[in-house]
Amino acid sequence: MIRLLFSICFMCTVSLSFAQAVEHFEQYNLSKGQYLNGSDLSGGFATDNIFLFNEYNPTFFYWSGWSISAATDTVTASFTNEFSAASGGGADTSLAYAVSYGVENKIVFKGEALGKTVKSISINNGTYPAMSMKNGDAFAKKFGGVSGKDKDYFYVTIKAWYQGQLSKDSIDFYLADYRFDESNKDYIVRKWTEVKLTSLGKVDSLLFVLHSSDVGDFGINTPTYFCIDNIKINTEVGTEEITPHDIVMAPNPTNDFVQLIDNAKGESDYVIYTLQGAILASGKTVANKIDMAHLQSGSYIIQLTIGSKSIHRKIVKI
Amino acid sequence: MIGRYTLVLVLLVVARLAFSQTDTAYVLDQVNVSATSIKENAIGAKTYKWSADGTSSYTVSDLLTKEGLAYIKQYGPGTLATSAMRGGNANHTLVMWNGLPIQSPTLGLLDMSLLAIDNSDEVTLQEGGNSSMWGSGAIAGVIGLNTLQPKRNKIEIQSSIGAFHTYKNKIGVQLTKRKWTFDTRWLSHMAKNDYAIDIPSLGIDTKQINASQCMTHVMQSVSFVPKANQLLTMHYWYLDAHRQLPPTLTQTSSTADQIDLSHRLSVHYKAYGNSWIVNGRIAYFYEKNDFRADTFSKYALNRFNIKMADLTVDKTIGRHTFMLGGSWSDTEATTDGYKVPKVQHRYATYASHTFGIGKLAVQSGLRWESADALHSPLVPSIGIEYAMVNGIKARARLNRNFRFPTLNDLYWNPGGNISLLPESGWNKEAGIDGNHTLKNALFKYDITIYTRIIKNWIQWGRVNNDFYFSAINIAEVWSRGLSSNVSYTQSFNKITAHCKVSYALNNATHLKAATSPVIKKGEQLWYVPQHTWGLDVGIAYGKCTFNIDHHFFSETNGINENLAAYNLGNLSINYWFKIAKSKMVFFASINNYQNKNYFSVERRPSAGRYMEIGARYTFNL
Repeated sequence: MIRLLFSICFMCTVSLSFAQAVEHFEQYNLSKGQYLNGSDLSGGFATDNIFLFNEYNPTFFYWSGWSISAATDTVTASFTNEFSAASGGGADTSLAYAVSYGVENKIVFKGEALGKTVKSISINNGTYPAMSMKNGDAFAKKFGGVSGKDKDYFYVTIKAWYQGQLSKDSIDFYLADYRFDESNKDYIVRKWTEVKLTSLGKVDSLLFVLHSSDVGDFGINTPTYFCIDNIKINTEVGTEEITPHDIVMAPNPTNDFVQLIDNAKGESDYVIYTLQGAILASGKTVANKIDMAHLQSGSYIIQLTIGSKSIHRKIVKI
Repeated sequence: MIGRYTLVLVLLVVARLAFSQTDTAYVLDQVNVSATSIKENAIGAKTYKWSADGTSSYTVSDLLTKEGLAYIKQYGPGTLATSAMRGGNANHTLVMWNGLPIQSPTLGLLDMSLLAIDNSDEVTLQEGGNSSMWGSGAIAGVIGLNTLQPKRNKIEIQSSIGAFHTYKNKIGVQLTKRKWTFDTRWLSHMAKNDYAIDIPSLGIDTKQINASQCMTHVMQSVSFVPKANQLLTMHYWYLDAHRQLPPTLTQTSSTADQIDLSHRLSVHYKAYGNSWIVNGRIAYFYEKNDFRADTFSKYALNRFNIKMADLTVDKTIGRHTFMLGGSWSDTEATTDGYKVPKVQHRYATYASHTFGIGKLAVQSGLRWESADALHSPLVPSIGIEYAMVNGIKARARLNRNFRFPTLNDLYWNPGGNISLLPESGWNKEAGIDGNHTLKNALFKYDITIYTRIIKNWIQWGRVNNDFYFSAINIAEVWSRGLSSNVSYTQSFNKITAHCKVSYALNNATHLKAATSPVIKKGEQLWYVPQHTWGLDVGIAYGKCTFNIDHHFFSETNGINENLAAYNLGNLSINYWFKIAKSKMVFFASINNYQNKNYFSVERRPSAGRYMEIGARYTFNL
């Protein structure tokens, strides 16, 4: 089985024409202030291209995962206001958006979006965590702490699942960042921000994990909510941007050569390094192949250069 | 001094009771001890007793702190105060009011800042728990608040003012008329608690906000003596407390507040003969607790009422005293956290046997209790005391203790778990008490070592990656350590001086690791300091007494961060005089006289130096 073994060092893109789908949540026809928290026990929310999990406990009337909301309260600092985005609505002045609750959550792609790259997603704080980080509450600290100088943060890490593999690359989006030496630069996100995700490559699902500096033995004290909207997906095969994930070298391990497959195009320059960084060989690919027959058994790094970009792969010679 | 000698006498009497018939009646200054059931006298355990008149503490939490017997986790003056003693949590200390448990059935604990000592005549503490007699929750200790029969007619008025706009007032009237006695008390405590928070290391120089309190207690007791060997008593305790809840240090402001209201009514019947005692108690408690946190936009309403009854019969045959008892209670609780009101029925049967011969006293006990489908294990106990030489007594005790899950543990939405098991474990302890009267001097000491493992310890945490917390029998905690006290009192003509040093070691460590919450094997429990030191020095000259006490608590594990060790010192001075039938006492105290910054709860600053002055006037009719 072909496996990706090495993380990407640099973005490698070849721009081609593309088609794009934008997933938003207006189709739920919510009125202002309304929300769907999964109490119909449907287990989640589906559009043509994505599925958002929801777990609703009818015994406890308690939800987790995702909800769909058109709540507009930008003031109330309370978990009774858990469905409001900090800006009071969806991205691009839309009404509806999705709210994530929990330390970890996932968006699953389906239909023609399955296995495609995601161009971007719009993210915002919820009102409740934003107010909690600004002023503190009985359980969570105000960011900056007593002195205002604590290096606090609240961010979401986004990773991609693709064909059973979790990407080693990730994108961190700071929902609040108080790590600046000049405290006037500290911020809490209260507007929708478009976060580029293309570098994550092809995606079957996206994993979101929250991190906070305000952590105790019971976990994160900061309310673990954030909001998303406008998920932009490149939907056509061969028309999306090529990323380093698209460059696959096989077989790995190999006896004599590796073949570049998938979207690798034309002749490319390569360099073979030891794990310590010594150059053992270099040249141009021939018929998308790199000869390794003359190398001893062991692990090597192959640097492949396409245009102005380079990628690295770890290859095992047996 | 009267109070202190009374305490000594009471301890001597209690010790002596263990070796004597149970129908003996003693009348002491300040305290009546009459026809005491062996249920109230745990042989082999260390028991403390304080007269309400003999302590300057206002609440039980103040008293336990000053005596160094518990770590009090207090969110600020006048706010929620819970105790940790002998390596246990707040819900491992049972609080009894005239022999009836007043623990919240929803939370399993009691806010000790609501326990005004002046509502009672004496406070007792039995370390080490005693579930075989008192039932669920009596694991680390049992606190008793007892109202005694008035023995003279008197009116007492007390008033004090203190820092942070504190005003305390008390009016008490005690009347005896033939077979009747009446005891009425009204207490009021108002404070703004706007104390300075000046912590240069954190760059804080501000005043506490949203911390005011207004608390009223009314206590009414009526007793009637139908026959010379019978006593019928009614107690009623009304409490109305409205308290604001101040912000944490990492919170800009707070609008949180809390209302506690309770009506507690009990009727007691006691009859005794030469070789028997019957004690019967019935009670009805109603409590409401309305809590509004910043994260709520409305009050969370909590209500419960309890109906209970308890009956014990003691019978002495020769050197043996047997006691049989049973209790029943019905609890109904409603909170926003339950879908529907919850009702719990409890039944308990228990028995005890005390045997005394010569210098030896042995007591055994056994209890079984049920709370609906939950059943306690069989809960035995055995205690032994041996008077080795004059003034020195050795004691040992082995008892099983348990605690039922609270109603919140069982039914809270979300996370309540009806599959929980009761916590239970064995307490083993041994100690020596010494009590030596020298020429114009009294030398006392005691040391107790103990060990206890509680299994099925209930902890709220995340299960199966749920996004909410659930109650689970996840933990197992081993508590062991020692407590010791040494005191010396010397009199010279009009001067009496005393010095007391106390030390406690409490290693309370988890035997199982967990991931949510994060618990490491071998880690000390939250809010249980390992080392506690106390020093109490006083001098009395004529009608004036001066006292200084210091208490040191070692570093304590917190949930978010550890709490630094701290040492608190308090000063107090009293002056009294009599005019005819009246007695006047002036008192003043400076708490935290060194004005130290300290935290007993994370992110909750405690008050610095605060002074209180007042006067108490007693008119004996």
